[in-house]
Amino acid sequence: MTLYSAIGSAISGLNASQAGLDLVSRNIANAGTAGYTRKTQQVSNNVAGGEGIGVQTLAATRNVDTFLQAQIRTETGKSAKLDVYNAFLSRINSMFGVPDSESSVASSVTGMLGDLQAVATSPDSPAARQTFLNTAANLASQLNSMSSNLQGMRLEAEQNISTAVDTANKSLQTIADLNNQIAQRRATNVSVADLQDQRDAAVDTLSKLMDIKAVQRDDGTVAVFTGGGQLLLDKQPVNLTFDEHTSIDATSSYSIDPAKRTVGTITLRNGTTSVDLVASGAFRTGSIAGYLDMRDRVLPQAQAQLDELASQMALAMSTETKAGVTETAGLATGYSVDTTDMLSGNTINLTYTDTPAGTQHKITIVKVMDPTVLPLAATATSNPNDTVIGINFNQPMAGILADMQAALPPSVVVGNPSGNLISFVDDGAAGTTDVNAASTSVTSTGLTDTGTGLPLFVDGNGQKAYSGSLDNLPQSVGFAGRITVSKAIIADDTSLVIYNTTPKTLIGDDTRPNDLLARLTDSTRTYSATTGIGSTSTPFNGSVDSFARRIVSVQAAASQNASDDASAQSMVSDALQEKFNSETGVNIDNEMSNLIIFQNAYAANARVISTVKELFDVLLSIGR
Amino acid sequence: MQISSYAQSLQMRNSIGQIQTQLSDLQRQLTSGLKTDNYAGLGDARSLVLALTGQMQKSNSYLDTIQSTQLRIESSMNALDSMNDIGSELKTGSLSSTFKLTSGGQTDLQITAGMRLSEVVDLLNLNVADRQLFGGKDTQTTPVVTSTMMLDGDTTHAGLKTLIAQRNEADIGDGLGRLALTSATAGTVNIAEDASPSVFGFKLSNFSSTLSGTTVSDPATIPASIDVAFSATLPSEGQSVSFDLKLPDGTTTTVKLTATTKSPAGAGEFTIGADATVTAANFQAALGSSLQTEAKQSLVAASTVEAGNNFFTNPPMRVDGPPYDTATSLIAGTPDNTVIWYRGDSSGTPGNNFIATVGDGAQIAYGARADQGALATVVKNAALLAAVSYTGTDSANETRAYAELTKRTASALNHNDGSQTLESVMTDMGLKAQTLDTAQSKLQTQISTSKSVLADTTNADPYDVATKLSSLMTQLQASYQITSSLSQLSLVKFL
Repeated sequence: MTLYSAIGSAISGLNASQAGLDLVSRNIANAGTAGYTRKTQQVSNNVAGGEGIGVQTLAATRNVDTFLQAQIRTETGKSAKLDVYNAFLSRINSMFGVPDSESSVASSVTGMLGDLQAVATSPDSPAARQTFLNTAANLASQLNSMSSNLQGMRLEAEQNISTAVDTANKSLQTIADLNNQIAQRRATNVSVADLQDQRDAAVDTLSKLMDIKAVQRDDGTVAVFTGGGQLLLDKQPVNLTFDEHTSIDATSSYSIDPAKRTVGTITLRNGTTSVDLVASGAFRTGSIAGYLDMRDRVLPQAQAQLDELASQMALAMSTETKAGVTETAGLATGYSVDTTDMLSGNTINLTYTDTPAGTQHKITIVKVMDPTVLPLAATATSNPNDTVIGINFNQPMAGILADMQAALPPSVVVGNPSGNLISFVDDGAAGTTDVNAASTSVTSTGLTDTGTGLPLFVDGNGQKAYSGSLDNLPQSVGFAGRITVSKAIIADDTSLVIYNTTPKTLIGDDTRPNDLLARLTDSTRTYSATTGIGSTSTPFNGSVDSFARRIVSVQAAASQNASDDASAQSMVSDALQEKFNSETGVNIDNEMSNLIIFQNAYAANARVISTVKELFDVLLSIGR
Repeated sequence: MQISSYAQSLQMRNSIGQIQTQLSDLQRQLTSGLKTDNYAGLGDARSLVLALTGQMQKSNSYLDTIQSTQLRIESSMNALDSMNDIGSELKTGSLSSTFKLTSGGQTDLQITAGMRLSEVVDLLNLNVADRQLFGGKDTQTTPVVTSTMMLDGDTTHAGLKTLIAQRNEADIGDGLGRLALTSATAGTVNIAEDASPSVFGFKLSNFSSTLSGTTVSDPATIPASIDVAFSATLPSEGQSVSFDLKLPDGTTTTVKLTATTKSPAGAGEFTIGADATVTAANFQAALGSSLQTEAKQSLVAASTVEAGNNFFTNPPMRVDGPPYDTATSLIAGTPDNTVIWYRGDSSGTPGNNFIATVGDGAQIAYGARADQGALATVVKNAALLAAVSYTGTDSANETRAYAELTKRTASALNHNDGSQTLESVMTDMGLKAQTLDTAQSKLQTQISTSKSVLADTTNADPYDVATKLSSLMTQLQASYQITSSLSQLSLVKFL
C-alpha cells in the first residue's frame, strides 16, 4: 500500500476513462452508420500478487444477437428474391398499359376483330380493308415488341446473375480476409468488434444474393455454406463462375444437360471438382434465385402465353379442315384423306367407334418431319379428349402407313388408295369397329382457291407459313416475336375478300371476312395448358380475344401478388432489422451519459493523482 | 431495451416516406381521376374491367355495323318505295289506257313508261357511300344499263326493241303465226305447225267442234296438226269449230269459226258450200284470214311479252337467226352482241346477299338485287310498254294488240301469278330495320351500363380522395411536428 500504487491505479483509471471516451466518441461518430454496432469498453480489476493494482482496460466488444442476425439474413434473402419478382412483374404489367386506354394486347385483339367486322360490313371499302391490315400489323408488332421486351428482361436477368456472382465472389473473399485478421487479432487479445461488423456486412451482402448459412468457428472465424449444405468458404473461399450468355431469345433455355443449355449457369469450383449449383437447387432465396426464376420460369411462361395467342390467331385464320371422302374395300368402309398439302404440324383427325361397345376414339395424327421428336406427348394438342399420334412423314409412303398402322388397332386398317391419299377403313365382316369420320387440318399457303380462310399471319421476315410444326424446336416457341402480317396481303388488300379466282369472288362479297371473324371468335377454341392458363384436362376455351384478356388478367394478378408478397416480406425483414438496429445500434443519450461517467471518472482519477502529488509535496517538504 | 438513435430516425424517415408515397398516389388519383394506372392495381376487379372493356369495344363495332346496315336498308327501302309507286302507276295506267296515239307511235301511257323506266334505272343504280345497293355482291359496278341502252342498244349490241322485232318476226312468220293450212285431199283441211321442235308461233293445244258430218281429228303427227274433214253431210248454220292456240308467253287464245249460209261470210264465219270440197275451201280461206288477224293481235302482244321475258333473263335469249321468220329456236345472246340489262352479281339466289353481325351470334341477312323477281318485273313491264310503238295505220288490229299488251303488263304488275311483290320485299326489309333498331338500343343500353360500372370500378371518387388526402396531410403535419420535437429531445441539448 503505497502512494506509488495509488498513482498507478489512478493512471490505469485515467487510461480506462480515455479508452472509454475514445469509444464513446467513435460510437457517437458512427451513430448514423448502417451496420455499425455499439461497442462497449470492457474493464476488469487488475490484480497482482493478490492485490488490486488498478483497472485493466480490455478489448472493446460488441453485443450482437446472432440468432436474430441469422433470422434477418433468411428473411432479407426472401425479401431480395421477392423484390426481383416484383420489379420484373410490374414491368410486364406496365406493358399492358393503363386500364382506361385500350392499350393492352387484349384491347388490340378486340380492336382488330372490330376492324375485321367493318371489313365484313363493307368488304368493298379499301379504307376498311387497309384499316384492318394496319391494326393487324400493329397487333403483330405489339406482340413482337412485348416478346422482345420479355427476352430483354431475360437477358437482363442473365446479366444481373453475372454481376451477383461477381459480388458473391468478392463477398466470400472479403469474409475470408476478415476471418484471417480476426483470428490473428483475437490471438493477441486486440478488439475484433469492428472487423466483425465488417464481416457481418459482407455476410449480409451475400445472404441477399443467395441462400446461405454462416457458422461460427471457435477461433472467431465463420464458415459459409449454401442452404443446401455446399461449402462456400472455410479457410479459403470456393470460386463461383457464371458462363454468361450475351444473347438470349425465346429459344434459349436452361437444361441440366450442358449440351442443350443455351443460358448461363452458376458453377462452384473447388480445386478439381465442379458442381452446377443451379441444377443442384442451391438457390432458393436471394436475388440470384429471383433472377433464375425470372429467366427460366416466369418470363418464359409469359412468352409462352404470347406465343400461344399469336399461334392461335395465325392457325385460326389459315387452317382449312378438309373432310375425307368415303372409301370402301369390300365390306370394309371408311374414309380417305388427301395428305398432299399437309405441312409439318398439320393433322389428320380420325374418329372411330368400337362396336358394339360404342366407345368412340378420337385420334389426332400429327405430321412431323423430324423423327427425333417422336413419340409426341398427349399435350401436343390442347384437346384433352384425343389420342395424339406423331407420324414421321419424312419417309416413303410404305413407312408412313406402317407407322400409322402400328399406332392404330388392327381393326382400323390403314391403306393408300393412290398418290398421297391415305385411307382408314374398318374391319368389314368382323364388325368390331366403325370408322366414323376422317379429315385433315391443313394450313393454306396461297391466298386464293384454298377455301375461305386466309394465312394473314406468317412466321418471320422469311414469310414462312405458320403451321405449328413440332420439328426440332416447336415453331410456336417465340412465334409472338416473329409474327408478321403477310406481305402479299398487304400488297393486295383485296385478298381479304377475294378467295376464288374462277369465278372471281366479287369485291362486295362478305363471305371471307365473315368466315375469318367467325373463326377468331369461335368460343370452342382450346388453348395449350403449357401457358399456365387452364389445365391439361380442362384447357381454357374461348375466342382469341378472351384468351388475350385472360393473359392480361393473369399477368396483372401475378404482378399484384408479387407486389403484395414483396411488401409483406419486407415488413417482416424490416421489422427484424429494426429490432436488430435498435438493440445493437448507438443511442446518443446513452453515450452522452457514458460520456459524463467517463468524464467524472477521469476527473476523479486526475484528482487522485493531484492529491498524491500534494501528499508527495507534503512528504518532501518535511525534510526541508 | 435500448433504442438506437439511428433506428429511431430511420423509423421516422420510413413512416414519413410511406405517408408521402400515399400522398403522391392520391394526388395522381385526383388529377387523373383513376384509381390506378395499371391492371395489377385494379385487384379483383381486373377481370370485370377487362371483360367490360372488351364488350364495349365489341358493342361499338356492332353499332358501326348496324349504322352502315341501317343506312343501306333505309336507302334501299326508299328506292323500292319509289319503284313501288311507279309499278302501281303503270299498273293503273295499263288497266285504263286506251289506244290513242299521241306522238312517235306511242300512247300517253307508253311515253310515261319510258320516263318511268329511266327513273327506275336511276333508283336501281343508287350508290350509297361508294356502294351499289342493288348489284348484289358486285358493289362496284353500276348494276343496270341506261334505259336508252336497254331499249335501243347500240351499233353492235341489240337492245330490247331489236329483240322484240326479231321475236315478232319469228312468231308471226309468213303471217299465219307459223301455222300452215293445206288441203291434201278434197274436202279436208289440215292445220299444222310449220316446224318441230320450234318455240315460235301459235301452238295447237286443243279443239272442239259441233260441225255435223265433219271429222275434226288430231292425227298425232310431228309437227302437230289437226285435220278437219268435211263429208257429204254438211254442217248447218250456227255450228262451229274452235281451236285453242297457245301463245308464246304461255297464254291461250281461241280461234272460232261458225258455219253460215251467208255469202260472203263475216269475220269468224265460213260459208257452207254446195258440197264438202267447196265448204272445205271456204273454211280454209276463213281460217287463214282469222289466223292472220289473231297473229296481228294477240300473237304479236304475247310475242312482245315473251321477247321481254327472254331479254330479262340471264343470259338474254334471242331468236337464232337471221332468217328470223323461219327460225325455230332461241340462242343465248352474248355480251358482244346483246345488251345485258343487269351487270351486277348474279350468283346464288337474289336478295339477302349480305350478312351483318349485329351482336354476339346475331346475324342479319339483308339486301335486294335488281334482278330479283319483284324488282325486275317493274323494269321489264316499263321497258315493254316503252319499247313498243305502233304505226297507227292498222287501227283495228293495233287497238286489240295494244289492249292485249296492256292486259299482260297490268297482270304482271299486279303479280297475278303469285310471284314476289315489292311490298313483300319492303316488309321484309322493314322487319330487318326494326331488328336493327332493337339491337342498336340494346347495345346502347349495354354500353351505358358497362360505362357506369367501369366508371364505378376504375374512377377515383374525388370526395373520397380529397378526404383521404386531407387526413394524410394532417397526419404528415403531426409527424413533422413530432419529429421536430423529438429532435430537440436529446441529452446533448441539456449538457
